[in-house]
Amino acid sequence: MRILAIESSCDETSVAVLSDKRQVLNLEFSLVNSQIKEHSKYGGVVPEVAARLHVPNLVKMLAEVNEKYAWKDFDYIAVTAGPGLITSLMIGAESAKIIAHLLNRPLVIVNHLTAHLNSVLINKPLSAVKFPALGLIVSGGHTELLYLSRLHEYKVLGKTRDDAVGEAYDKVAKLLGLAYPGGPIVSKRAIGVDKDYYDFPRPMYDSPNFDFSFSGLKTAILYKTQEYTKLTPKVVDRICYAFQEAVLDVLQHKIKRALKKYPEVKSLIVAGGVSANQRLREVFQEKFGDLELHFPELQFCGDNAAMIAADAYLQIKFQNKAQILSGASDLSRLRPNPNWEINKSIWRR
Amino acid sequence: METLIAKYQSHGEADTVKAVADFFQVLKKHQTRVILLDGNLGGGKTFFTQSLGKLLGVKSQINSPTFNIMKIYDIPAKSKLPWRSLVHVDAYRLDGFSDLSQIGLDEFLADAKSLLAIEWPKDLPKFLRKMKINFYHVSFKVLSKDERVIDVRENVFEK
Repeated sequence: MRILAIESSCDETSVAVLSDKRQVLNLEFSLVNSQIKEHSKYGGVVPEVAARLHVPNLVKMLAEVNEKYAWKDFDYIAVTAGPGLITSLMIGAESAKIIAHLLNRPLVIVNHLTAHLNSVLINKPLSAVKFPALGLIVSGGHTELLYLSRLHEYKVLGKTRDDAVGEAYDKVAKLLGLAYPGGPIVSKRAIGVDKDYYDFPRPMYDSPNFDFSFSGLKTAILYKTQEYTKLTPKVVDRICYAFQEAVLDVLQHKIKRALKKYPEVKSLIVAGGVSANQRLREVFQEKFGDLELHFPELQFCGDNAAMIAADAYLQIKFQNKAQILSGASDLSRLRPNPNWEINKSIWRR
Repeated sequence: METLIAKYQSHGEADTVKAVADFFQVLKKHQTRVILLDGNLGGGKTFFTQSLGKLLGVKSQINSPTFNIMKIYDIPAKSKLPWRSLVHVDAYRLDGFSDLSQIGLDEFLADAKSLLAIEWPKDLPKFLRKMKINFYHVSFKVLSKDERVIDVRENVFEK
């Protein structure tokens, strides 16, 4: 079986080809184009700009696919159908629909969030992760903690009530006068600080659930910056450090709470853009050494089509008919859902 | 024309909840259904919308609209309010009204059953005035750790 996958939910355009070889998800071909440079001057992804750039990028990538493969080599077409920016999602979805229709192949629609979790399976056998597992998705748009009883079975335990982790990094960077995207810059500034000078609040630390909140932390940092007439580089570094420690503390605390409730858990999967954060990986290795820890390869932490193909493979294997569309009438019905939640039907708005 | 209809001082979340409850009494009685939320990062714009959502009977968790730009929440019919949807927008990365219409905001502006809460409105007041669409302009100012001021102005136009 060979899958051609397309991802365009935010500001990365990506295509990938994945096949299965003796139950190993074998990534044959993958292209990712990030538009980050185009968006950094605006301090965030501009939807109209992103959508406009996806079109030529995708055309170019599909031409490259066509140099290596014949279109009939693909048994399935897969595409991200949400969540994401509607104007960006549309480009990938419409392209995938046309390809599926012309090739007369089924179209597998993929939820971007479950795909992030399944990015740890790329180039691995399906048996790579031991279940039950906990899954943590940390990215610019999402922060969710999940329980996976087995492969492809998701239960959402909690999510952020306000800002996502990556968003908190971006907003704190902005408060400190640092550039966009905030994640890599803030974590770089934190390196070399010897201790936590500020002890910022840990929102929802003691609340008896698995939800997160990062908005209050952002506000605490706003107040802290107002205490200084001038933010010296040293103060900025210290704030970055204290902020990052607060975030990581809350994340690992909620995971520990989940482990108490689900002592049978064997592995922990951490995925999404923020899972590339080295300090996060360090802290998690230290705190959860008893578990089997799964991080995506660095190249698969951000948005990519390889994870879309991996997720599509599971949809096909477990015959999730709701997400496998075939025939013109099925295809024409598909509209991406910018707020598509895990385990909810894409048709529900 | 623009009229200052309320000025609240908030010393914490409890005060903001009270301010929103007070504003809600005005909102319920008037035709205006566009709320612009202006103020810096950490000003409390999303918290204001979350508190409003509770009064509207919105069941799902209202979180930051920053990533998706626009989020839509159901307002239950049993709330007996004139609106069926709360449309929560973060216009920070949008370049004026043309971008908002691209993501479908103009449809909600035209829909009497939608209540709109728009953060970072930028040039939107100018556009709304031109189109004679009524709106509330709520501005948040953080004076210090324990003190912020929330002003509510109403802009009403004759059709």
